Amino acid sequence: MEIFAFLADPWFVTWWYFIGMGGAGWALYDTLFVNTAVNPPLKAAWPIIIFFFSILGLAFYFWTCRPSGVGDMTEKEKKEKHKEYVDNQFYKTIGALIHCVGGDGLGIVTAMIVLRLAGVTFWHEFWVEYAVGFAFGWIIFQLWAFLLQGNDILIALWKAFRAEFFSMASVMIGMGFVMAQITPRVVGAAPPPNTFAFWGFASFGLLVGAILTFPVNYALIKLGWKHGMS
Amino acid sequence: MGCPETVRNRAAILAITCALVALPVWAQQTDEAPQPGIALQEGATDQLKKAISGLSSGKRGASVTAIDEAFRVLEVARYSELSMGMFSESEDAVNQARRALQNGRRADAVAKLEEAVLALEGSDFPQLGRKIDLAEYEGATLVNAEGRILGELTAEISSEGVVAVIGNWQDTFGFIDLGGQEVVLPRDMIILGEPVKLGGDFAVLADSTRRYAVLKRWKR
Repeated sequence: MEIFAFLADPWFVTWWYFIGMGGAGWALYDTLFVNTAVNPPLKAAWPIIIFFFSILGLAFYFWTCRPSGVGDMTEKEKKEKHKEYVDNQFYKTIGALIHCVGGDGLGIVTAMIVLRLAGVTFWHEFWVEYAVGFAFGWIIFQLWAFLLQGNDILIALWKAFRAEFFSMASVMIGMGFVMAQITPRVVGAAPPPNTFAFWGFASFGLLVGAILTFPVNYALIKLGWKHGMS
Repeated sequence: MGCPETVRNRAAILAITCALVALPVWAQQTDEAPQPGIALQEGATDQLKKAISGLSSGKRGASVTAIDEAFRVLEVARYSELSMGMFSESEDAVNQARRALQNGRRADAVAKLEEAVLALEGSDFPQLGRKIDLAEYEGATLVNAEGRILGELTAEISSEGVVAVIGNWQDTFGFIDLGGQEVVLPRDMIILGEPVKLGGDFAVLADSTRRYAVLKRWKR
């Protein structure tokens, strides 16, 4: 478990989130004013992803969502280029994953901060985080995406629920595994939000959840239950 | 005055009688469990020493687990302590050690753990004795004197004994109890922690002599 000790190291965590915050601010600016063809839910989700995944998030944004030379294109060219750029299964899956992990991550970490301060038990924390993460992912990010595809509200709610159910389950399995099996063996049970370990392991847990949810999102797109990057 | 032989015989009979009377009393005394406070003191100290040694030799996983287990015992002992004493002092030091680890300061954590051990070893006989209503502790997690989880206290609590379910899978996913064996444990060996509204309640089985052989019988 010594290998994960760097996740509580002030030097590592400070730089990780410093780059994450700077990157998130830049991505917000970029999607609003430069890479404008990105769909609105992704414009909200990318800064969250980059905040938590720092340099890895930035690298993924450049790799999967930002065509080169986008700054010099007209709005029409940007839309055409973006459509062409994201029109493959891998990039689409990354887009679906960003919706999912952005919403779930924001919900999970928000709940985690409150619950750690309240001092609840592990399982109380786990289930409340699941519920809050699910609510954020379903009602904000997934529903928004399905409404943009022209579904009426009830259909969009159902489709968003179906998509969120499977992707959230896989994110939370990854996050729960880190919370239950890794964090307690490296820094002890439930580090509070005023410690470096809290932020280091929050980011790591979310990353493990994102990796686990990739094949699930891939399958959901193949089934037509999710649309992916658009 | 009898002859010397008769006196010697009487003395021998008296000695044997005394021995026969005293032996069961002595045997009973040695069979008695030590004071619960001592069991908790020894359990927490052992765990903290294990943690210090583990952190110094790169066995971080075992070390951090030992800190968490010692902390459970100290939290319960602190609440049960009659006045601010060794357990309070030690718990504060362990809490600071845990914070140091969570902020990447291993050397500080080791120093704080050593302080915690000193507080436990350098103090007099630990006094526990807060009177608590057992009824509030239905479902409380039961740990041994080293802080390892044994099971949970159940609702059926009498004045002399405490009913607990030990072993297998208790509180799985936070709401499922699978298997386990129902046992009655002596009330005076159960030390109860502070009842909390949101977190889980804890109780320690102060059985340092392993009289209840939980390790052997229930693999705990």
